[in-house]
Parts: sequence; structure tokens; C-alpha cells
Amino acid sequence: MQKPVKASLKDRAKWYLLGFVLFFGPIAIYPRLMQLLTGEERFANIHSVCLRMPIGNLFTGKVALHGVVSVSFISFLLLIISAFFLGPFFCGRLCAAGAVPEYLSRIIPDRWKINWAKIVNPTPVRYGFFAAFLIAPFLAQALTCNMCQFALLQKCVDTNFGVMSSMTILTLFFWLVLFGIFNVGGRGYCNFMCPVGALQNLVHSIGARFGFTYKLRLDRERCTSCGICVKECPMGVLSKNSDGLSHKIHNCLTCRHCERVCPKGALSYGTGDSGWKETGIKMPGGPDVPVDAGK
Amino acid sequence: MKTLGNSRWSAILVFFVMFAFTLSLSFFAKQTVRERSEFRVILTPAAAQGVRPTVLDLANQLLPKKLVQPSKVSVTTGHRGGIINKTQEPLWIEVATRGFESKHQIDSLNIHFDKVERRLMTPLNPGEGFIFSVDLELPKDKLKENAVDSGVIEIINYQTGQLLAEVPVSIINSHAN
Repeated sequence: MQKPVKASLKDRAKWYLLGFVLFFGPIAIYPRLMQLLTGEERFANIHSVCLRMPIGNLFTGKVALHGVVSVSFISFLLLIISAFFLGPFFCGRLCAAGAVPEYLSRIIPDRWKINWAKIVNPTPVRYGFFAAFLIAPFLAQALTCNMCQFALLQKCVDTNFGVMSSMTILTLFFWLVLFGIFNVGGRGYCNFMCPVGALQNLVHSIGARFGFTYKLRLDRERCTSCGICVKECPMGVLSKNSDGLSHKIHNCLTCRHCERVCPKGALSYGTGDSGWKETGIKMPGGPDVPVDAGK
Repeated sequence: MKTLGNSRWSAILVFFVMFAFTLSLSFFAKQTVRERSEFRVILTPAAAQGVRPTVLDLANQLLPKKLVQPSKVSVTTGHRGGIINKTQEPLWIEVATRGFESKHQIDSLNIHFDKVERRLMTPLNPGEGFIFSVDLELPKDKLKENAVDSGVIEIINYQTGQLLAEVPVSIINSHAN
């Protein structure tokens, strides 16, 4: 493994550890502090933060299920605001539940892994899941707790998987195995089945249109199309094509791993023009549809 | 290899395939509710109440559960309020069990629940709810019997020693020979 890759992984790991200490029990600094501020007394772990419930209840009218002054609702607002100004900061920096399969997948030899992001464009998969996630409470069973990777990580920490339902077992399989350690990049669950990430990227795709927000930027003059960033991106959002490098803003974590591994400094994270020509989806038989994210 | 979902039409197709797949997961999730048993208790000022017996049928387990964890089952209050205090006074809740042959433990996400003492260390105020589950590890040799295990969950006010409610639990396997 190259030096910059190792250094980036180490630095990112520190952030994810911070995220772990902040959100997950037994330490769970963030929910404890927030509970002091709000006067709410629920759980001293990720369950009181629950970012999935407000999203799952977007259409049911119960976004603030535990009240407006609750840890969950305030966290949900912070999530949206940070996604608008900074991109999916929570996913890229603090989400330990996303980081665990990513880092574990690096132990598995590449020949055993499936590159799902190369087989299928993750953007429509992600939003297909997200749309159904929002509608599920009306048609069958809400998928908020049922497919929660945060709760699964908390269970791992508690070293007590307790009693798992068939749905929990399936989720564990998707999160850690099929889209986790046996997926190139290890972030298949984030890419395909995380509503928290999908909502943040949706907000980020709007925020990135403004010059004052933070986003991943490309300096086309510096880029030599060496492809290191394409290979290293855990989400598989970067690809090389005839125009040079392209980027799927709807799946980018803004984890800044690509920025660290780029030998030419062509990728950066900051405000201003993004420099990308988004080319995620082509017109049938026609040219690429430019969705100029930063313009 | 060509990536699916890169053209507009295939992206729409991929979107709807994933949409349908996720909804099917949602229907699947609905089926898994029957893998556990749920009960609700409303605590009123009246004397100890017997709650409707709760029956857990192992025949309702779906394939992943049958393969991975058939002997671990849960009898739970669910997430919709759980035990609700409808009296006018705070109650000091202790959860006790009797009659179960299987190894079991009481679990709750409630920050104030002491798992060893099986007690809620702060009072359950009027109008408040308390959620918990009794997680049982059934003896593997009994899984294929008709009557797998049974017992009673008791809700006690540990300050006064008063029995507040009893929940009879039966674990059966209707597919047993």
C-alpha cells in the first residue's frame, strides 16, 4: 500500500474513532451531552440519536416523534444543515458504522471482492431504496429499525447480538458481508441501502450548486488521469472517461480520501466552483447530460 | 463491462427494481414480527392484573432465523409504550420471571434499567412507559417439541412489594411432530 493511502486511512480512522466515541455506547458523549441540554432521558447510545427515524417519518408527519426539543430531531436538523454546507460530513468523517466494513474489506484480497459500483450505477439504486424507505411505513413495515446498521454496530459493541430477527440477520449479511467486506471499497451498504447517506447527498447535490458551500473540487489542469483516486475511492464515485475524470455527487461521502492520495493535488475540498462536469447518467443514444454541480 | 444504470432509461429501470426490492424487504420485515411475541401492560390502580397470555410459535420463524439463531427468542413489550403507568403515583418497577426452564435475561435500552437487579432505578411516573424484552435461549433438544417452554413475567413494585401485573408466556412449535 502506498504511503499517502496509508496516511489517509490512518487520519480518517481517527475521525471515525471520534465518531464512535461520540455516538456509540458505552461512551456516547454526544447523546449524553444532548440529553443534558434537552432534558430528555432515553438511551446513552446511538439509539437516542437515531437519524433514521426522522427520515423514515418524513411523510408520516412524525418527523419530531419525541418532540422538537429532542436529541433525535435536533441531530436530524444538524445533519441536514451540515450536508448543505459541508457535504455528507457525518458519513465521510464520523460514521463508524460505514467505516467498519470499509476497513475490514481492506483485509480481504481484491480477487474475492465484487465491484458493485462497477456493475450497477449506485445513484439510481440508492434513490430507489430511499424512495421505498419513505413509502414503506404506508405499505408494509417501516425499515427504520429493521435495516439499521447503526444498531447492529451498537450490538457488536455490546458484544451481545441478543435475539435477532430474520430481517436483522439479512441486514447484517448485507451490511458486513455482501456489500461490506466482499465489496470493493467496503461501502456497498452506504452506497445502496443507507437512507441517512441518501438524504445527505440529496441535500449536498443542491448545496454544491452554491459557491459558498464546501464540496469536492477538481483542478482539470493538474489532473493527469492516473486513476489512483478512481481505484481508491471507497464509494466508487470516481471514474475515468473520455472527458477525463467524472464524479457522482449523489454518492460522494466527501471523505477526502481521493484528495489525500492524488499525487498531483488535483482534487481538493473547499468552497467555490467545483470544476466537475457531472456525467452520471447519459441520454439514450445521446451525449452525456452535464449536471454542473458547482456552477 | 458495461455498468447498468448509466443511461437514462436503464437508470429509471434500476431505480424501480431497487424500489420494488426494498418494498419486498419491507413486506418481509412485516413477516418477521411474528418471530417474536409482543405484549402490552397498562398499569391501573386496581389490584394485580392478569394480562392475556402471550404465545410464541417457533413455526413462524423465517429461513434466516431458522438457519442462524433458531433457539434465541424474545418476548417483548415492543416499542409502542411498553408497560404504561396509568396510576396516579410513581411506580418502582422490577421485572421478575418464574417457571421458565430456558436460560433467559431481561434486556432494556432504558438508561436507568439495571439488568442485574432487573429493576428500573428511577420511578416510572404516571403516563410514562417502560419497554423491555425477555430474551430466552431455548434448549436445542426441545425446539422440535410441541410445548417448548412456558413461564410468567411478573411486574412488581419493589418499594411496596406489590405485584402489579402478570404476563403468562407459552412458547410452542406448531410444526412439531
